[in-house]
Amino acid sequence: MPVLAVVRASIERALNVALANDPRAKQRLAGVQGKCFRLNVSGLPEPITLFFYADAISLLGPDYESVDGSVTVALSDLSELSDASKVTQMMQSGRVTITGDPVFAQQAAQVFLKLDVDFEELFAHYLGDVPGYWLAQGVDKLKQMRPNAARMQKRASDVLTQETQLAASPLFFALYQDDVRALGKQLDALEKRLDSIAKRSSTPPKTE
Amino acid sequence: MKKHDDSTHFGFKTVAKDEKANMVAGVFHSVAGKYDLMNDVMSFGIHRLWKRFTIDCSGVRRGQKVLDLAGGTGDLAAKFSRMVGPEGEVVLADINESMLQVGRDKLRDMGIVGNVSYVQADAEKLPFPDDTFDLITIAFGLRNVTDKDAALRSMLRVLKPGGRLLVLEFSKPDVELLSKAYDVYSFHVMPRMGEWIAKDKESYQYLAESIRMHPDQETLKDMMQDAGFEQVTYHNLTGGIVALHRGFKF
Repeated sequence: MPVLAVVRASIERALNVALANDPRAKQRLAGVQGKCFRLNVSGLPEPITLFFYADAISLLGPDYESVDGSVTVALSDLSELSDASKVTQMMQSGRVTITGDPVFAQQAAQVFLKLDVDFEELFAHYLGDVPGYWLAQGVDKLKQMRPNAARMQKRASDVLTQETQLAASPLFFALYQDDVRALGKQLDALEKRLDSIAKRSSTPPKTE
Repeated sequence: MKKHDDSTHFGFKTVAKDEKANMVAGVFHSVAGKYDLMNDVMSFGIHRLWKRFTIDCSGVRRGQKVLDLAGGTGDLAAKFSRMVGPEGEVVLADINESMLQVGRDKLRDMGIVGNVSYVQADAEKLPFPDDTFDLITIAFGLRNVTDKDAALRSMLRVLKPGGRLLVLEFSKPDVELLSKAYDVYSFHVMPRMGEWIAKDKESYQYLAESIRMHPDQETLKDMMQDAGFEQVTYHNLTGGIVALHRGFKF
């Protein structure tokens, strides 16, 4: 509990700093104020539970039960959720489950997806102008990598799936082992025969 | 005929019941100004995580009424105030005027006004009508109450049907080694820290002793059930140094 609680508190702090530095965050928060949203991502140690206030959020633990809406999705499908046009298709194919009002889920997501923070200004405030500039450049590069990351994730997923399809079945592998064993026996027999021929040829013929 | 017992514990001392409230008041009057600082220093900040877990278990929603009993400097009340929103209400209650004053100043400095009210109240005789609150929390306060059974009955009375009580309190560590280390820390280090930082060794000696005299997890669970709470459960935190008890009124 303590490690996850510390992680949660740190993320909450970071998100609230980001929201405080986004001039339009309050407008987006107004629609979800006083509500609680839970994102269940398979593969993560616990669900992400967000309680929205007028100007900030609280990141609550998994024990909080008064949730207004939730989304359950696999980690590999998470990036697709940001594309609203794909959500219906994902729901129909069972890759995403939404409980509560879908509009609320969309509004909750928009609070973070539409974050518009001047990172250079923000970092400069805490770290100074030059480190702030370099750090902001890093953030920009990360943002540019996002589409690539999604592509790479899809490619890795495809390769892994195809590998599974191409891999030999257990029955095929057992037959293959039988063939190898039979071939081994034939080789042993051939080796013995060659040995005996070699011995015969090296033995000098008997002279009277 | 059984003689009525008019004595109780004040740390390791046995004192008359009617004296304890004043003695506890003296302790908290003395530590109120540096209460938050000492909490952070003595618990290495972990008290914030214990309180976060309490909020997680509260299930509190927009528009509800919350009583933060023995609320001290208002850590829980501040969070609940935002969660219940303007339609809800949080009552920060404490028997100690100094603590209440520090809590009120702190919350106002944080900009938390409007849905928080402050009441100086004795947990044994809560000055609220029956079935008033959706949630009652008492964090690190129950062990200082003279008659804990009376306080639990009083809390049950003012809780709405379906409401819940959360008791966050020091308890008994469940690992022997941790228990010994914790004893050394609380009886030798804590009073020294109190002496150095808050210039008040005696108050922190009392806090360490009062922690030892507080009922363990199972005993407190039984006490809550005896008072009338249902579905009582507890969750050990940091190896049982602290436990969060939860009970419902139906």
